[in-house]
Amino acid sequence: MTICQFFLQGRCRFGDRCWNEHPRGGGGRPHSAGPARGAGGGWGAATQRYANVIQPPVFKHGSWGGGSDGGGFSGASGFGSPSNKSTVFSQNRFSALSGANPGDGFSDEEQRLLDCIAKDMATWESSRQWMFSCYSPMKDKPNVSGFQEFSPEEVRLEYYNCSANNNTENYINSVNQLVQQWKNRLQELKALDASGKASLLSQLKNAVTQPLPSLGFGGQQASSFGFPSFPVNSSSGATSFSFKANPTVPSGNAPAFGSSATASNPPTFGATSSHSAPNPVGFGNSSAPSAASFSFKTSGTTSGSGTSGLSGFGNSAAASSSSTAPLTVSGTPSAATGTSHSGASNTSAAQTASASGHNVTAVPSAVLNGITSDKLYTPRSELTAEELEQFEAKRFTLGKIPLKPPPIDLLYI
Amino acid sequence: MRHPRPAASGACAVRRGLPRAQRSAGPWCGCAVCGEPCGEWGPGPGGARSARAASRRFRWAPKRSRPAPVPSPARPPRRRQRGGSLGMALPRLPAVLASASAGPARMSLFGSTSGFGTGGTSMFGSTTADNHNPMKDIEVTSPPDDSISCLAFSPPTLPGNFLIAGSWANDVRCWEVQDNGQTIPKAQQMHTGPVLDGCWSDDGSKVFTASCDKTAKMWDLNSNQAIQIAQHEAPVKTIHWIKAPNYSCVMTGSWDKTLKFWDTRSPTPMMTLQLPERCYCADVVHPMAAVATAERGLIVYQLENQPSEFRRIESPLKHQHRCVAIFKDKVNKPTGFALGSIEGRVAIHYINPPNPAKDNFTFKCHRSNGTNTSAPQDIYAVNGIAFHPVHGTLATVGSDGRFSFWDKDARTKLKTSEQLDQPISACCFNHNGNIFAYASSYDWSKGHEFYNPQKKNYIFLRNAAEELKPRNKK
Repeated sequence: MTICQFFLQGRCRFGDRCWNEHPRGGGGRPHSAGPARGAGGGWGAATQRYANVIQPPVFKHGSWGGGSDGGGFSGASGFGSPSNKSTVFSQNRFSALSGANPGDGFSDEEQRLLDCIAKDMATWESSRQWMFSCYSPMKDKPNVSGFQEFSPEEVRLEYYNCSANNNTENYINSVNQLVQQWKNRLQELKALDASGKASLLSQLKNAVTQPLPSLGFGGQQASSFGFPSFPVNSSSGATSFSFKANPTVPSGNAPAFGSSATASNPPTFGATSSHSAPNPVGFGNSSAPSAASFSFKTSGTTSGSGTSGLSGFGNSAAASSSSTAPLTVSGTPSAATGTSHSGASNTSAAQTASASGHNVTAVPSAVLNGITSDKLYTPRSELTAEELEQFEAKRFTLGKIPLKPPPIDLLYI
Repeated sequence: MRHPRPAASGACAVRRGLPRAQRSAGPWCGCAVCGEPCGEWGPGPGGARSARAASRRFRWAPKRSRPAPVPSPARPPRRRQRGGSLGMALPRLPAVLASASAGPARMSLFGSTSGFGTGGTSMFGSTTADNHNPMKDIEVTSPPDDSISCLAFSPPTLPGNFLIAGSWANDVRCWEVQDNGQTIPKAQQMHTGPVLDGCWSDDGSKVFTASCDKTAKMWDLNSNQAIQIAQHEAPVKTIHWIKAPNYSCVMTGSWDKTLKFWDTRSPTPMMTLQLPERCYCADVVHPMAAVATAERGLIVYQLENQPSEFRRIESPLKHQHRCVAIFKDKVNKPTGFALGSIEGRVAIHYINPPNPAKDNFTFKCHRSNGTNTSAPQDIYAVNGIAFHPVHGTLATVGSDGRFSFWDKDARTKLKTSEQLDQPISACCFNHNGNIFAYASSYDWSKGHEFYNPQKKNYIFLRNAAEELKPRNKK
């Protein structure tokens, strides 16, 4: 369709009824001129004259213009079309009327963020693009949790290694599992309920405040904590990650649940949404694998919503307390540290949650109030010798990863 | 919809040439010629339909002078490339890789597994409707047997053009590309794992290759020997040669989240820098290096004196980074980079722009529906970006099997190719920008189900001297 010239200048009187195309995204510049009156209306020529000297858009907090296709020249009319002459796209005024979701209790900007996320998820699903990728709704925001990132080369290498060992079913199973997790996460994000939204927003907001520079640091920290899914699968020849290790991650990360059969954990995760038992083990179980291997936050599932509150806490606690893992790029380093934090906080707060019977709103606040700094690091005296040894080692060994957070003096801060 | 009454003279105020102040103030009625609002009659947003209705009653600005709203993908007349010259001058070739013999004798170097044709034509005669070369570009003989991961042309210090390609068949091959388009396979080296990246040294005597076997090798073309120069704890994804005034070294980026700098004579790295995540792609144009990592990490290094981190940049893209390429400004200093993601989008980012909000931008590419965003479209990853060394325009290749040329200063697309039947996994320009090479092979973008080991992989060469000239800025 043809691009509506007047929409580009912010003056389309037809708004949503307009038969031309209103390209999305744009400066978000509030257009001071009101909607046009009728013919011969009272604007006067002056408005017209100055309207052509359009100021560059005022971007809100340095992010894209709020649209999902943001960035100066993105959008449908960007390349190759003669409407190039207008360098500014402004948001369609009328979209606010149609798009607002009253009664949600979210501010406009947050609502836009959530809409953006939902739309992006829909696009991601329908576009057949590479699914093992991180995602972030806007430029400054950190990555949304729950998406594992693999490049096609890594996946391909895994396939080649597996086929060299005649292990292709293993590879196929792992890949299918990852695909399933991705789909679950995608569906969750597409249909967020209120608590899911709250936790997602808090996660995005929290992490924004983290400073960037100690990331390289965070990398070191990761190696000292040893992200559990990476090493120790000897048959894969210690490739950088191992698909086979994935099923073993949850069990490895939560030794309290026993070195249970690897088969048990994937179904547990897949069944998280139907998981209702409030017992601490199961509760912690559903959160620990999600925290560990899929970096935090199964937000949005009804039964997992308490979990998300917890791990959301674990997230922010990790962020605010020790600068071990700043979360602007909430990759695996933060997952690792968050794991150990949330592992502890889970077991302690799980009882709270179960006691309050999955009262979602109560849990986060209880957790936030109850857990002060003394729960973030255990003093050395409280650790057993084995746990201490694990913390002091370069990497965790599977099956022995401590549930308590490390003592403060062992952390590089 | 309401139209204001037409002016008596039968032409709108703009056409009559009235100054702006005298045109009536209605804001929306657009003159068909120039789109200027003149407050007078026009068809309204009904477009052509109500225009026709309107024109029956009023005579107004002629329809035909309306500028075409969306340029349909124009096809420039195809220039026959087959067997033709690559448009290059004819230098003498005292090649370092001294080989005076003609093609066929040398082809046995690559073993007997791959079939080979003669000269530059396809061996299957191209009579079937297969779409492996819809652009009718020159095929490189004896292409690798598995997917091609990287392509690199020799630097200007070598006379003639030599192309290396690393592949998932664990080998890296070298061809001589002659100016008539003929490609002669020269030599090959093997790794114990798939080769992920390769580059030339600045004097053109050595080729560095990075592989999934966690090592990087230096291949001396004179002696045809390769020695290992680097070791990582995970596959090495990127390798670049750095030539600084006071040092020179090899930079390797790996999935073990480190960036290491190697003096080729010593087994320990000169320097190791930690990355926040696995290194996915990198580019070096002295004195700047850009590295993109997993989890949308993006770091720029400055290489004067010794490599040090210059800045961490918030990624302008929402999804996984796939490829990065540095571009230079008019005085040949690196000034920014282009970053491609798996989501069919490329971001152009300047390091120190005068107006970041306006100068940095992203554009969508490698999508099935072009600019129409309403219908769901297939989105493909951008597998490679390369900048033309002379014009500064860029080429992107994607998983959809197309390549596109763009002008980032005019922010326009110059050309999109026809669709090949396989994704295009790598691309590069030669040192003077006359040849554009791209590799057609499976890039795993759809998983293992679509992997066909029997499918032939191709490298195509195209004359790039004309098509990448920038358009004049509108």
